[in-house]
Amino acid sequence: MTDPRAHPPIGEDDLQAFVDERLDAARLALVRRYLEEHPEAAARVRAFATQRDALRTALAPKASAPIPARLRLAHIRAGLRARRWQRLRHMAAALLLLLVGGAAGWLAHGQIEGGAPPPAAPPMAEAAEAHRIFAAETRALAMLAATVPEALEGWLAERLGTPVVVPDLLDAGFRPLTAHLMPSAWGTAAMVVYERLTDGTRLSFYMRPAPDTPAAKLKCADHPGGRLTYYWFDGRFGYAVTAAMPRERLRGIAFLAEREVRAGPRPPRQEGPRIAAQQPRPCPNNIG
Amino acid sequence: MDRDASIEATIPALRRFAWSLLRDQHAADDLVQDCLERALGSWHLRRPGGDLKAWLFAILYNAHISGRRREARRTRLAEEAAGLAETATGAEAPEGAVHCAEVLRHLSTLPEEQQAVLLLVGVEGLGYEETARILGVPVGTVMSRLSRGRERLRRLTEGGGAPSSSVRRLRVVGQGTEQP
Repeated sequence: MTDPRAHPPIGEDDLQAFVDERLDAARLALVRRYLEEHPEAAARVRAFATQRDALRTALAPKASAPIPARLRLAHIRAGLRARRWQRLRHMAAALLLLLVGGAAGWLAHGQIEGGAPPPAAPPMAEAAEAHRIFAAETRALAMLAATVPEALEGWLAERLGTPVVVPDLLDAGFRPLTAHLMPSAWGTAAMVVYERLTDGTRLSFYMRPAPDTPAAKLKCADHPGGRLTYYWFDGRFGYAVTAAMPRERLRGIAFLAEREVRAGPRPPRQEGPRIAAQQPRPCPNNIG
Repeated sequence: MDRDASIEATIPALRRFAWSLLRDQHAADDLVQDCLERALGSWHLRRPGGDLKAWLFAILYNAHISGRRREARRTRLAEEAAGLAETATGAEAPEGAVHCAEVLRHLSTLPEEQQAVLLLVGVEGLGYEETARILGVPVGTVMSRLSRGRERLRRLTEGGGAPSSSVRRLRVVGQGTEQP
């Protein structure tokens, strides 16, 4: 018999823990002795164990059955992405409505002067302005972080009615965070806000129609608050890369962006190897 | 990072648990899918260093008790239970086979919270604390559900499946073909 002065008496929890083999050695010895002395308890415990084994056996096939394709994580992730994308469209539509109201006033004064931006403003001042407004509040839209550049491009292209290149700036350490559409005096403009992976520095890529501006190479414009814009034109659009960072550094990124844009929309497969390199998959087959 | 690999390694157990709760493969896979979506969507909310398996089971169970699938489950339970005996009797020794099919049927007559404890502790091998966390109840509650559930199951089995006044029973249970 157990010594009640040294140990708490054997209770129901001990019997269950005995079945589940979750007793420590000292307690286990006590419970064993108790079971020897209490055949009825021993029978119950045996029945519990048999019952548990029967459940395990009966349910084993359920865990060894092949997993259907729809439960593969890649599949689930794709579904989530599609849904997130849909949500983003709704949000973007709502955002656009807000922007139309806000930006109309801002653009009005430019249009009153006769269709061109005021001459006193630095070139592509609207890019710097857009950066000021949006780069700061993108947290709420961070869901875009998971989307791929192609999807962004598709979405923007649909809105702008023309193929769009979202520059891949990952080599410079930046990944797309959010995309925005906004009205400009020249038609719908688009902005993609990037974030530097290491320190969260924001950078924006802005583009708007510029059919009347001749193609022009990269130029730099300073804006108040340390923001710096590199911009260029290709005869169809004006592009700008804006961030608050050292001139040489931003110039390098702007060159990268300019090259990406000049190369045109990337072929759809380019994404594959990078994703594979970033997150190894359990079954690495890129063959299919 | 082997995050995908470790999640996928748990999917078989999640499917088994889901099926045990729902007794319907389609509904079970819906539940697992729901669970995986929630897991991927809230991965950043996960307690770092926390047990992945327990976390996934908790998500699955919460999704389950949110009750959206209960209706589907009830309507399909009857058909599914009929086919159950065959599934379970598969490759077992005759005596064990009878017992396996029977114990599954009996399990489904237990209150669901007792079923969940018996499955998580007995079949999935989760600890009492983990189980308590998954179900969102104190450990003491897990222990008493475990004890009551096992005792009921034992009475049902030893009583040859005869109805006991304290046990909620479904009609389909009496239709089994095996000897008690």
